Amino acid sequence: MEIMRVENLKAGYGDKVILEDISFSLKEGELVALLGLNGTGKTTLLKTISGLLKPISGKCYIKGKRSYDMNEKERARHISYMPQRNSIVYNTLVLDVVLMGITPYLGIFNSPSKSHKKQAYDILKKIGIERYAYDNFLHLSEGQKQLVMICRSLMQNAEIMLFDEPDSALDYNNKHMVLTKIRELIKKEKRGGIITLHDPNYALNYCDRIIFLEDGKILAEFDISEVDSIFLKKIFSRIYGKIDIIRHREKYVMVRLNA
Amino acid sequence: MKNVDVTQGLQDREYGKYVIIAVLFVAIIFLSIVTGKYPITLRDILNIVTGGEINDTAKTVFYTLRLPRTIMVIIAGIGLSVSGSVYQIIFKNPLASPDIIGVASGANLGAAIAIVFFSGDTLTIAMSAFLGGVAAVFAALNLTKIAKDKGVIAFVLSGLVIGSIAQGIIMLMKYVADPEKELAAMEFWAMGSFASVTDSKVVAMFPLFLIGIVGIVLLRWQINILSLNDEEAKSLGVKVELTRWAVIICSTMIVASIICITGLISFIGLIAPHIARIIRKRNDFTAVILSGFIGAIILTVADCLVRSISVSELPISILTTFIGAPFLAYLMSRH
Repeated sequence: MEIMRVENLKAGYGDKVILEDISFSLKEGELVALLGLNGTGKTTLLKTISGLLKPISGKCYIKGKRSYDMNEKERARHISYMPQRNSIVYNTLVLDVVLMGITPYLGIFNSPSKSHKKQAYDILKKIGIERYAYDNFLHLSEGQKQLVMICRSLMQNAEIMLFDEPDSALDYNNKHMVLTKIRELIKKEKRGGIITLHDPNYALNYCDRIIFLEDGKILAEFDISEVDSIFLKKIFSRIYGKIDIIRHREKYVMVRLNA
Repeated sequence: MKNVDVTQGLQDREYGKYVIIAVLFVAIIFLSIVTGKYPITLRDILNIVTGGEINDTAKTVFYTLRLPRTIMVIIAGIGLSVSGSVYQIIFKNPLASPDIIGVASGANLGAAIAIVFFSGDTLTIAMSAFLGGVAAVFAALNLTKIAKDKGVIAFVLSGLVIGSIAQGIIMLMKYVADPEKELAAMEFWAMGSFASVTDSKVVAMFPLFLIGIVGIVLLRWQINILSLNDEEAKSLGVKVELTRWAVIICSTMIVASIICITGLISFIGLIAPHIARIIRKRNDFTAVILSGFIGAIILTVADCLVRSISVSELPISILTTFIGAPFLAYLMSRH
C-alpha cells in the first residue's frame, strides 16, 4: 500500500533552486535509498519532505492527505527525521533522549508521563539497548548514539521514517549493525523508510529501491529486485565512473575499476 | 541488569544530596533573618511565628527589614538562576547568563534615566529600570526579524547590539551627570544592593516574577527540546520560533522584576546553573529547579556577608563576583 506520494516537487533555499521535477512514491514496508554525489540535493529532499524546508512548488501526500497543510505537530506524527548528527550538547539520560520523540503527542504545557517512560524503555528493549537507559547519552559510542536516535524516531511512531546518512560517523561493523536494525524495523512494522547513503553498496545490500539524484533531478528510480547487473552498471557508471557490478549470492556489489 | 523499574530511575539513589540542599536552604533563611545590626535571635523568630512575647523593635525590624529583604534575596537567587539555566539551555551556550538578550543593560539604562532626568527616588528608578529591561528585550527580539538566519545566533547578536547601544547611552549620561550625586547613584545601582528593599516593593514585583516562573514551569518540556538545534526541534513538532519567544518573555519578566529593585547582580545566573548540573549530573528540568535553590543559597550567604563584614553595606555584586570568578576559573580547569 502506498503511504506517501511526492508530486512535481521543486525546492531550494530562497531563490536558489536545488531540486526540480521530483515525483515518486513510497510503499508500506519499503526502504528506499537516495543516492547521489555531494550537493545533488539528497538532504534538501529529506528536509523538504519532512517540512523543515518549505517547497517552492509541488505536493506531498501522506496517506492521501496533503502534508504541507498539516502543522508542525501533526506532520511530526507522520514523518520522523533522523539528522546526520544529533545536536545534544548537555549531559542527558538515554531514556530522556528517547522520550523527546513523544513531543508531537504532548500539549505545549505537558511533560512525558510515566507510561511514556515505560514506552521509551520498551523501545530501547526492542532495539536491544535497554542496558544504557540510565547512562549519559554523550558517553555512548557513535554507533550506540545512532541506535538511540533510531529509538527516538520509533517513539515518534511515524509511518514514514527519514534517515539522513545514519551511517556517516560509524565504523564498518556499526554501519552494518545500524542499517540492519533500520531495515528490520521498516519491514516488521510496515513503515516506509527513505535513507540517504554515500556508499552504493549499502543501498544495494539493505534497500528495496534506489532513487538516483543528479543535479537536483531524479536520474533513475528502480526496484533492485527488478533490474539486472547490466542495467545497474549502466546507471552506476554514469555517477561513479569506471565501475563494475558483481553478483554475489542474490546481492549486487559495486567495485571500482582502476583507471 | 540495572534499573529495571523504569519509573523509579535514579531518583532514589540521589536522594541524599537533595536533602542536604533543602536543609541548607531552610538554614540560610534563618541565617538571613538573624544577620544584621539589630540582633534578632532564633527565639525571637519563634515568638513572632507563634505569637509569643516579643519587643516592638524586634518585631518592626523583622517585618519591615529582615523578612522582606530575605524574601527578596531568595526570589532574586531563584529567578536569576532559573533564568540563567533556561538561557544556557535554549541558547545552547554554557556561558549564557540572564543578560544575554539585553535585559540588564536595558534596566541599567532605565535606572540611569530615572536618576538623571527624574526624581531619582527608588520607586521611580525601579519602574524605569523595569520598563528599560523589558524594552531592551523587545527591541532585541524585533531586531532578530531582520536577521537572515533566525537561529540562536541572531538572538545573541541582537542582544549584543541592543546591550551595547544601552551601554553607550549610559556612558554618555555618566559623562554629563553630576559626579557627586547622579554619577554615584548610577554606579551604585549597577553594583546591586538589597538595602533598599521594602515589603511594598516585594509585593509589587512578586506577581510579575510569579507569572514568569509559572510560564517557565509550564514550558519545561519545550525548553528541554529547544536544547536541540532548530531543525531537530522542528522535526519533533515544536514551533521553535514561537516557543523561544514565549520562553524569553517569561524569563524577561522574572529578571526585570528582580533587578529593577536590586540593581545588577553579577554571576549568580551564570554559576548556579553550572553547580546544579554538576550536582545533578544531567541536564533536565530538575537541574533548572535545583539551580534556583542553589542560586538562592549562594546569594543569601553573599547578602549576609555584605551586611556584616563592614560598617556600611557593600554592594552585593562585589561579593557575588568574588564568589563567581574563582568558580569560573575552577570550571575552566575541569573542562
